[in-house]
This record gives sequence, structure tokens and C-alpha cells, in this order.
Amino acid sequence: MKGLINILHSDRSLQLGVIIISVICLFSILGPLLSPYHYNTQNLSESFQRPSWSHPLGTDFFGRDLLTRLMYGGRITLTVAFSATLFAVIIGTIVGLASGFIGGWLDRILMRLVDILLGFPKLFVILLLVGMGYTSLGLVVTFLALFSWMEIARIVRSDVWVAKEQLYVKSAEALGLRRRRIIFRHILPNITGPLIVSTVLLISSLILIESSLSFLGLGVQPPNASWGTILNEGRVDPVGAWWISVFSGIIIVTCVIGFNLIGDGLRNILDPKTGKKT
Amino acid sequence: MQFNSPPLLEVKDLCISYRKGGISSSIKGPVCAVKGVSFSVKPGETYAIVGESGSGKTSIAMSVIGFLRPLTGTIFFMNKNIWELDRSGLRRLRSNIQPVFQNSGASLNPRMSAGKIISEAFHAIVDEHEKEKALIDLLRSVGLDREILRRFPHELSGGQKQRLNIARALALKPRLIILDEPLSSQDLSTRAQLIHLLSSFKKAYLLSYILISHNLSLVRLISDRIAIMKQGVFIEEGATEQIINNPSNNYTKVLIEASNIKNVKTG
Repeated sequence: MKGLINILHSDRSLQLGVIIISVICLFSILGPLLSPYHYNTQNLSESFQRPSWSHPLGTDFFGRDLLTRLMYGGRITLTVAFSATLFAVIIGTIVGLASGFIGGWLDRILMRLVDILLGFPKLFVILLLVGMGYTSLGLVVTFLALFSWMEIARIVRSDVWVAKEQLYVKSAEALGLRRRRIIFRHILPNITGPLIVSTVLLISSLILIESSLSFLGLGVQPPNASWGTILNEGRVDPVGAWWISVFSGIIIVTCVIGFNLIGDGLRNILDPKTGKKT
Repeated sequence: MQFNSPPLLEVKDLCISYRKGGISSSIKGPVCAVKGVSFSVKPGETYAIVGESGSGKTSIAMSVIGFLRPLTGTIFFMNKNIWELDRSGLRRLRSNIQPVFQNSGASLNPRMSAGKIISEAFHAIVDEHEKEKALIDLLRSVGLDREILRRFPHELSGGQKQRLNIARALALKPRLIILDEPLSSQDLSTRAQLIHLLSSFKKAYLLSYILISHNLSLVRLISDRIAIMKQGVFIEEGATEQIINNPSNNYTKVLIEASNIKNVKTG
């Protein structure tokens, strides 16, 4: 715990990022429980209410409280981004470890596969798949993960390539340890730094992609709300009911900035070349 | 040393090359680091390979441990050609050849405590009580305190790190230890302690050492035979005192004069 506090104190952008993301997570997890309104109960008599004491961020066309919907939408957006990132990191790490450690023909095949997949424009391929009717939340998470693991795989692979030539790995090999033990005890723990940084940055990019999909009506489907669908609902009257687009836009941007700040902060701390702390 | 026993290690016509090339490189094709080197090491013998940086000493070591496949030549260890063994065979044989590298810090996993590093060497022992006892005995034999077990490599001194490396190498009771410049980065008092330690283990366990060094005074203290290496070939080989007192090659003479060891008393 003390070590964690020391890490937080060592970098300003990390501090700021952690504060922003903690607030947004608490806002999304606890908010809907504390709010007097339900995210989806319609009250047409309160349609398009401006921000007021009873509705701090106003209401939408159906008279639903925007603050409650943003809090609830945060749950969906963050769940989609976190789970897609988790799957992408698992796939990327396995591919990167296998490619970097075993090398040879396996490395060549896997890295060409990565090159091919990186050649696809991620958003448009996902748009195409979702547009073909595969629109459930689980499928969106799967598509996002399937088109996001390649950068992780490349980073892991190059770090494994370096780590496996280190003397402590050679010493472990000389002891006659099994490959699995060498990979999971000696290599993986020593490449976590860059992996953590790219994971955090991937979360922010997946939040943007999920929001774009939902904005286009291809991600999370009504009556569920994600930040992207709420942003889309603001299109009905962007000037008259400005608060819908503005507040949902602000929360998306703030969240992405928060994760980017954490990523930058962690990179500063974990990368010895920046000269801060190794 | 068992002079009449068959060699523990026999290296014949070893050639090691590194592939160079690429768009930016001016050198194309393989670069030969070791050319036609042959030698043997008997049980209980210390065989030193001396030469300047880049002469190919470490390449030989890496090939003998099984990390670097030679271009041609054979390496027989305990009557088995190590480069003809399959992966599991090589893994089993490796427990009999242990390395101690020059960079004591880089040889220890920075994310593991000293206790975990050492206990990994006892991976074959299942019984925890037995493992603990073996670990404590080993630490005592290299002069390390039990208290260091909780520390991480960056919390240890250079001497402690190298003792830990030696302890790990000894844990599997190997027949041969390859010492690749083991004392170069140590201060004088630590060097003396480690030399004493290595000599005592040699006698106690009938260990063989391959000592790789550019320091002739150290080599004279602990080795039985010396090979002088230059640009990938052995230019002179023989008993330590014979080489130092009657060198036949000019390069050897230069090395001996530079290290000023003729005036140093052997211990």
C-alpha cells in the first residue's frame, strides 16, 4: 500500500489520471444506486428540461434524467472497454510470448498475421461486422478484442526477445527449469511495465471506438445507454437541447484523457530512459 | 585432480560463427568468433582460457553450456555429445554444468528475492523441510547470512550477489562450473574471499572449473592449465607454470609482461 502511494506521488500526470478515473468509476458504479431516478423510466411531461436542481444535467426527449443515464452509461461503456481490453491483452500476451520465446517459423507466421490484421482499418471492419447484424454487447466486446490484440502482441514479443537473452534467464535455463516456469517466473514479470502502459492506453482507445459505434447506432442498443448512444440522442436538437451532447461529450473526453494521463504517467515511471524512476 | 581419469569435457575442432548482414551492415555472411578450438578438462581440474576482449572466450563458454550452437565441431560432456541431445536430454545434462557470469547483478532476476532465486535451484526437492535445510547449508557454505533471503538483488552488495550466484551454481552439485570473468567487477578483498571460496569447493566436491579471464594473476592463483586465445584460436596451451615461466608465443609474453605477474608470489 505504501509502495502504491509512493508511485502515485512520483508523477503528476499519473496522480491526475488516477483521480479522474477513480471519480468516473465511482460515479458510474455508485451513482445509479444513489440517484432518485431510473435510467430508463420515461416522463414525457419533463421532456428536454434544462439543467436544474432536480435534474442537474437536464433531461432528454423522453424526460429521463441525463445525469442518471450518464452514470448508468458509464457502467456499460467501461465494462465493454475493460472486458475487450482484458481479452485483447490475454490474446496479445499469449501470442507475443509464444512468438518471442519460441521464435523461428512460429514467430514468422504469427508476426505476418499481426501485420495483416494491423493492415485492416479496425473501426471500419467492426462497423461492417456490426452492420451485418451482429450487434449484441458480447459480440461488440469480441470484435473489439479480436481487432485490438496485435499491438500488445508486438510489444510483448519484442520485450520477450530482449528478456530471453538476459543473464538471469540464461542462469534459470542452466538450472534445467522448464520452459513454462522460465516464461511465467522470469520473463513475464520483467516485461510487465510496457505491457501495463499499453493496456491502459488501449482502454482509452476502446472507449472511443465503443462510443463511435454506439453513436452510429451500431453498438449498445436502446433502451440500454452507453455514452455513445447518449451523445447520439443529443443529435435530435443539438442547439435547443445542447446539454445532452455537451455533457456526454465532456465525460467521454475526460475519461479518455484520464486513461491517457495514467498511461503517460506509468510510462514515465516504468521507462528508465525518461530518467525519472526505474 | 584426477590426471589419469578420462576427460569430463572434450571439445574438438570447435567453430562458432555469428551471422551478420542486413541492409546497413558492411559485413555480409557469417563472422567466425571461434576457429577450430580443441581442449579437454579432467575431473577436478581448473582450465583457464585467457585472452583479450572479443577473442571468443565467452562464445566457447556459451557453446559448452548449450546456449550457442557451434557451426562445426563436437562437445562431449560426460561422454555425451551435448549438441546431439534432444531438449529434455540437454536440460538434464545442464544441471551438471553451471555458469557464473561476470555481471553478478544481471544474473539475478530483479523481481525475485534471494530466497526464491536460491530455492529455484532446489526445484527437484519436493519436501519443504528438506529444501529449507539444503538451502541454509548452502548459504552457510558460501558465507551468506540467512537474513539476505528476504532481500532483492538490488539490495545486495556486489560480493553478496556473486556469492549468491556461486551458491545457485553449486546447489545442483554440478561436475563443471564455467566461471566467466567471475571476479572482474569485484573489489580486491571480495576477490580474495571468492578465490578462497572457489578453491575450497573445488577440493570438497571434486569440481572442475573453466575459468575465463583476462587477468593472468588470478588465473595463476587457481588454474592448473591455461590456454591463451587470440582472434578465435588457441595460440598456446599448457600447464600454468610452464606457460607463465616459458611462454613460446610473443602475444603470451606481452600478456605476461603487461600483467607483471612474474614478480608476484603464487599462493
